[in-house]
Amino acid sequence: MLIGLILFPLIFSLMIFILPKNLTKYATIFYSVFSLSWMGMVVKNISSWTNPFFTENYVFSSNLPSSLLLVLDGISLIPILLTQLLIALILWMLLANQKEDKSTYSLIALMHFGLNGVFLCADALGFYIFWEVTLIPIYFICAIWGEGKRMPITLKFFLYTFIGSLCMLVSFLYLYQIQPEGGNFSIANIFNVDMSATARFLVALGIFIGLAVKIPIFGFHNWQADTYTSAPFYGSMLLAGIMLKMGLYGMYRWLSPVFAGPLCCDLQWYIIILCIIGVVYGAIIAITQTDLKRILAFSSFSHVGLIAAGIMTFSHSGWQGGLLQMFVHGLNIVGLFYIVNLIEQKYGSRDLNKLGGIATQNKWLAIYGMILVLGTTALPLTNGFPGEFLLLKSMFEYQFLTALFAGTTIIWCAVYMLRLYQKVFFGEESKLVLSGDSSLSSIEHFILIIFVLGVLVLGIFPQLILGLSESTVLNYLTQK
Amino acid sequence: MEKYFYLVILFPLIGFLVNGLLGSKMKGTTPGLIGTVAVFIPFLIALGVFFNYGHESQPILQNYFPWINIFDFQANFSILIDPLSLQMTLIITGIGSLIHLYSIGYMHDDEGFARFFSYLNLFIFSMLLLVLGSNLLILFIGWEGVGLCSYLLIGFWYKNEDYGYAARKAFVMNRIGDLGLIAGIVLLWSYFKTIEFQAMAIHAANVDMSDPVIIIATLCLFIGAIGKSAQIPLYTWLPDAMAGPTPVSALIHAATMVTAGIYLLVRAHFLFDLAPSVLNLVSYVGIATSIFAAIIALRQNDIKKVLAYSTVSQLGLMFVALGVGAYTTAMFHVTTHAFFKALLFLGAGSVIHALHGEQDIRNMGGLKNEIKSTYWVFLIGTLAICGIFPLSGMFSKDEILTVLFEKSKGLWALSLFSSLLTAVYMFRLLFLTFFGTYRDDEHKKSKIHESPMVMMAPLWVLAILSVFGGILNLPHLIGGESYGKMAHFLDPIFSHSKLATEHMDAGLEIGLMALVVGLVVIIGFVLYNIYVKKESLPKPDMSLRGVEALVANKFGVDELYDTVISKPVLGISRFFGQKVESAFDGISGFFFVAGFKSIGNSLRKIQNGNVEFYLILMTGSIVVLMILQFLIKI
Amino acid sequence: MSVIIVILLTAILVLFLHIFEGRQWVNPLAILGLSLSFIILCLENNSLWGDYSSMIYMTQFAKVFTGTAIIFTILVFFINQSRLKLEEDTNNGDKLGLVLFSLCGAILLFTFTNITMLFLGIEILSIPLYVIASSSKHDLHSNEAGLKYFLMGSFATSIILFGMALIFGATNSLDIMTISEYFSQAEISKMAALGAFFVGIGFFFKVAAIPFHFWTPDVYEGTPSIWATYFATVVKIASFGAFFRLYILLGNVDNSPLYKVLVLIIILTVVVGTLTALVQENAKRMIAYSSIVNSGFLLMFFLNPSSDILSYFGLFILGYGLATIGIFSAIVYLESIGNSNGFEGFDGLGRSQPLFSLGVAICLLSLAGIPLTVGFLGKFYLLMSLSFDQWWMILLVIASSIISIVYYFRIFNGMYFSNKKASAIVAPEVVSPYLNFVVGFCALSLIIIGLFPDFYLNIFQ
Repeated sequence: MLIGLILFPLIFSLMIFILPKNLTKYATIFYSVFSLSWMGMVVKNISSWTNPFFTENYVFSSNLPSSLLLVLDGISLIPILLTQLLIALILWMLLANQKEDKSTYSLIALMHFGLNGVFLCADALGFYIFWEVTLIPIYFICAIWGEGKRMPITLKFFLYTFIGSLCMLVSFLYLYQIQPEGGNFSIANIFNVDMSATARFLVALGIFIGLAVKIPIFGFHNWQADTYTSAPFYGSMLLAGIMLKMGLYGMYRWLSPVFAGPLCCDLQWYIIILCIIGVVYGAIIAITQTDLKRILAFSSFSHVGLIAAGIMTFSHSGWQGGLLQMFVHGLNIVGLFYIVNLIEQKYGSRDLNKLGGIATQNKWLAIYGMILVLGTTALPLTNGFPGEFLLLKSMFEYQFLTALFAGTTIIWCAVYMLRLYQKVFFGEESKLVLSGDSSLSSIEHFILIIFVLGVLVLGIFPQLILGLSESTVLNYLTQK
Repeated sequence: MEKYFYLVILFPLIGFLVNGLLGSKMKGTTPGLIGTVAVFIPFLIALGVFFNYGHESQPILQNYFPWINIFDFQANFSILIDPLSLQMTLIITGIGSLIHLYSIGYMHDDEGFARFFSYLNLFIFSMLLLVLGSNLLILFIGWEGVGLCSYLLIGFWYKNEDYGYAARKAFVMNRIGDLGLIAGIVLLWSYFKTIEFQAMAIHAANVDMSDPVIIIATLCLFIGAIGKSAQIPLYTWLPDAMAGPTPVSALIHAATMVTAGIYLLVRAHFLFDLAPSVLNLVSYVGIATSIFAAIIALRQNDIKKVLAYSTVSQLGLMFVALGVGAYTTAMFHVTTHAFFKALLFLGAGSVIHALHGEQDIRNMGGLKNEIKSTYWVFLIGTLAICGIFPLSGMFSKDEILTVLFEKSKGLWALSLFSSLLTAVYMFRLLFLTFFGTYRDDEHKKSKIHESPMVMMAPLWVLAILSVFGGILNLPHLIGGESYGKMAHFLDPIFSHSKLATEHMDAGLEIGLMALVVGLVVIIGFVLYNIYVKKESLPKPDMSLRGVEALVANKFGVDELYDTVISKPVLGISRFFGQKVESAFDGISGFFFVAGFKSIGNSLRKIQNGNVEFYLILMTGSIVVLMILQFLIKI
Repeated sequence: MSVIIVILLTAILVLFLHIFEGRQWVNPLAILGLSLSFIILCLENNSLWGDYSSMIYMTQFAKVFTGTAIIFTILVFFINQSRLKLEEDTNNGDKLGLVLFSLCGAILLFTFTNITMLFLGIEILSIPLYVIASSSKHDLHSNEAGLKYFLMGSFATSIILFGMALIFGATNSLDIMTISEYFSQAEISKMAALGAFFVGIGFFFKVAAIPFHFWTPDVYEGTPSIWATYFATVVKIASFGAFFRLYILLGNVDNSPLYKVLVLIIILTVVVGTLTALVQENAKRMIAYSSIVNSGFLLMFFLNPSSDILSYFGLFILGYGLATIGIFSAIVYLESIGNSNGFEGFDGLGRSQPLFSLGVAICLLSLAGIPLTVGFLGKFYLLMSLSFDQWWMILLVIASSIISIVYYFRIFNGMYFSNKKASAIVAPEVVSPYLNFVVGFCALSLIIIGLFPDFYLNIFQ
């Protein structure tokens, strides 16, 4: 069941090379629909919502103290759902753009493979391996199809993440080594150890750095804006939409158990502070940026800071809000990147100062854009609100003044998002816009409507997502 | 009837969707009619419910579905029908439908006709959610929703960048308040473990006075109210919001949205009652805003700006009333204010419409002969807001003053001052606009025309309401047995309230009333003398000096905010975005790589290709290693 | 033993065939002979202690290393085959013969049980190499490389010999078991310790650990790439095989006369090697330094030897060897079409030869230690073998791995992300099927063993 989620992307990724070029399109459509329906089947077969829903174990090597242990519970279900959905959407976007390069599809499928692995694997070594595997396709995607100074930027990105993940690996190795004889890397064993407070702190720090680079958290974020800007649009989507969730997911699964015992210093508090600084810092920078992708990059940086902070409170509403917001952020940021991509495609620029008045020219694009912008600014009845509210709630309950500081995000977000919207869609039509192509193809409509529906439906029924993880989160937190 | 109450919310939403999705394909005024009907039907339903709602009726809680339902937070999507929400619903849908009707005429040749109505409907929808929501979170949906609609409507003519800026300013200012509201909601949740109004009210009965959590929570709620109801220091968005089409100003910035803050305080009165210090703050902020805005209004020359500042000032008065615990009184003023301010704004709209977009009163004058009907309704509005007997404004304002006179003489004097200022700027506006002679060129004069019937009808309805609105809540003195209808209606809401008001001495009441009316009349005559008889005109902006210039320039608050907040934020943003980020770049891998490379380059020099050198180096290394291994003990 | 005989016979046959106008059959014959020897190796039982006069002893460890060395040599010959298509080489038979002889030396190094055999092995391994290094007769660089290699190699050999003499003097025996027993005592004589020290120094030279590495970059660069491949892989594996065995035999670890030196040299090797590799402008030199860094990693396995470590050590060296061969095939291809050895020579390769460069890319990823490859597993086991008391070693591995990304990815970047169009490459010729086979074999093995390491690791048991 779960192994399918890992195997099919891998098979597709290899298959597409062999298939003749004219079949790429159909194969991709088939693949995306198939992976979605497979996911649907997995969800349908969940018999009880007490965790975990499914566990599968495949032993690869008797020499490795590790196996392919796949676990699906409420916490992994949400990012997994997001991954299936976004990968399918990204593939459709590529088809809509008539991108013909086979290797793109293959790399995205490889990415899919790695991502599903990261979210499913409950074995520290396996998790780490999948974690690294995702790095390769995204490196290729950014470096081959990127723009600007893509080489140094992509290398910077790669180095940052690689440094981070090696720190994480060291922590895992340590956790493994201090186990009594016959231990292994499975999540049940690896955290079931006695450590001194200092060791615990160092282990937590190592894992945190690995996750923090991916998320990114303030101080580890320098790669992000450059990479998002120079990456091709689907690269930015994969990075912001899904890869970033790897870090957040890691906080639930791999970081929080370390905090079960006493640490030699208040790491939880420091992490929250960093997150919160990032929330405000990113948002403030976003105010004066002029490149649409950069704005989205900093916006995303700001938003995930809040999610990470909420998770770090280890409170029920923080965790539930975080999971919901993970899903929602993925949906919204990918939708916005898609709109930016459409704008760039049709009008030839993503510079705020060169755009303007698209609302007159392309009404539907403006409407879709407005809804996604509102979703991002967390207006009630859009999907951004319930999660952000729960996160802020957890923050307020954790520390009132910090939360107030973090809460200013709702103000900043309104400032830069509305500025963005104003400059792009409102005002007089700029030269570029006047000469641009104003039509949306039906597949573009279709894709955008999915995003818009996501914004509205989840805004009105956030319970659709919250309900999936409720019992798991409850169990997880009460056990601690 | 109550069973179908969800239609009240649903209809405007449907209207929004229909107009928004299909409106551009419809012909003529169809979108306008759809929009109007979508608000009028809810009005009828609400009216039906209202007449069924007796004094003994229990509040009706309608639960639709759980919105957010997790272990440590629950908020249902549910509405609460009680006198307070019913009254607000009636105001919103009633005045709302009039404004919709008016807009059909006002906006008829605008290219965004359908879009306009879809926004208006969305606004009504949000506003209804705001007042009907049974818990703070549903209220918050409406709260932010009206903020959004106000953003959309202020920036309705989106090609104009300035309007866009005003719209964003409104939204952002509102958001500042919203943060306070969210904080308040969370605090209340963690205190009561519920955010349902009814449940909270029950729990609140057992809470000690001046409980610190309650104080902070109410303070937070009040910050929210400040943002939405445009009080100091977050008022600057409201005058700028006049960039929107005039019906918008009437609907949002006079009759409904800005009263949301008042509504919130009234709705959560059981909490504010527990926090007397916050209540004091409320009245101080209110009175300060009221006078401050009134003074600014004295020197404004844009017809809509004057009305905007007047709104801020009136809202201030309502907060003063709330601050002394006179919730019903505040609600009464909300209602009458909705009547005459909508009337004034729509009247102003009619003037602007007649003059083809002219808004500066220095370019008007003598319009009472040109557009008679508009003149009459505007006159009624002016008299009502000034508080001339027996128009509605007089009753509500008088009630506020009476209450204040009892509670605090100081507040009373300041409020009196504020309402006299109201008379000053309103009469100034009236005289400059309608009296004297037309001051712009003749060519324009020939084009002046009266507004069509579809605009005038709502004006007359509002005029009638402005005249007779007082009947809703007559003082005991005048109304006899049928006094205080609204107070009685709202009474069940405040049954928990510990600050019930009492009747005062009749003689004193008459005296106060007479004093106010008398002073207003005197002001009217003085101003008539100045502006009509002597025909003196406001000076051009350039020639103003000193205090006058300061007032005309709105005390420079906008500029102050610009220098104190906007510019530093932008500066910080650039500093972070360029300097700090590149510093990070410097510390990041690149720096290391560059550093490593320079070390590497110097190490590379050892590899010079000379075998002798290599051999010497190796031999040297062997010696060193031998020493290390055998002679040094570590 | 029969393996060595088969290889020797092949070598002699090759030499003869070369004389008797059968040049085109020389290379296939060598490959055939090696394959035969590999099969024999697989079928042969492990020898017993005391066979062959207690001179050589085929353990499972030796068997795996011998097999690996044979396979690497076969791959090198395949690369050589691709060269023969393009150019007439009248001396091919000589070179192959020499390589095969040196391979025999390598096998002796895995199997010796007597230090005279060790010495013989080193010499049999090395002497043909000196000739091969200068085999490109008309190339000054090649001649220089040969000479340098010879001079420094003999220097090292003499040091080893000196060490052996001291050991013999102290223990009065040449038999490895006797010596080992002597060294496991709590107290050993100064003489024996000094002997072990010198033997160690000699091997540090052979495995190219800093500061005894000077020959490596120059020799790799000067030697024709095909034979440099052999140097970088088979010679490396042979030296390490011998050194590791010797190191375990020569004493309990903490007390080892080499421990402190080892630690210092590891640090030097990894740090200096990594930093110098970072600034290289030539792919071959970069690989040379990368091989130095990898020597540093391999030396880390010496710190905590145990029976498990043996197989992890083998896995690491296998990953290193396969990846290096893959990258060298790319260098050979680029040389054959006239591109320079600089990184810019790789520009656009990804577009002109997608499949070939995919293989090369996998080799690079493996060297960089990215998961799903043997390279990752090797590093993983290396980290596992280090205890957390040696945290600075772990730090070293991590830091070096990170920086290595930068220089491995320079080839990567050239292949895939260069702005040059594919057509800009001089004569985008078809890659010979032999090279394709070699790269494909390396890449696939790296992935397959990376996914299922058991298949390899279990052979050690």
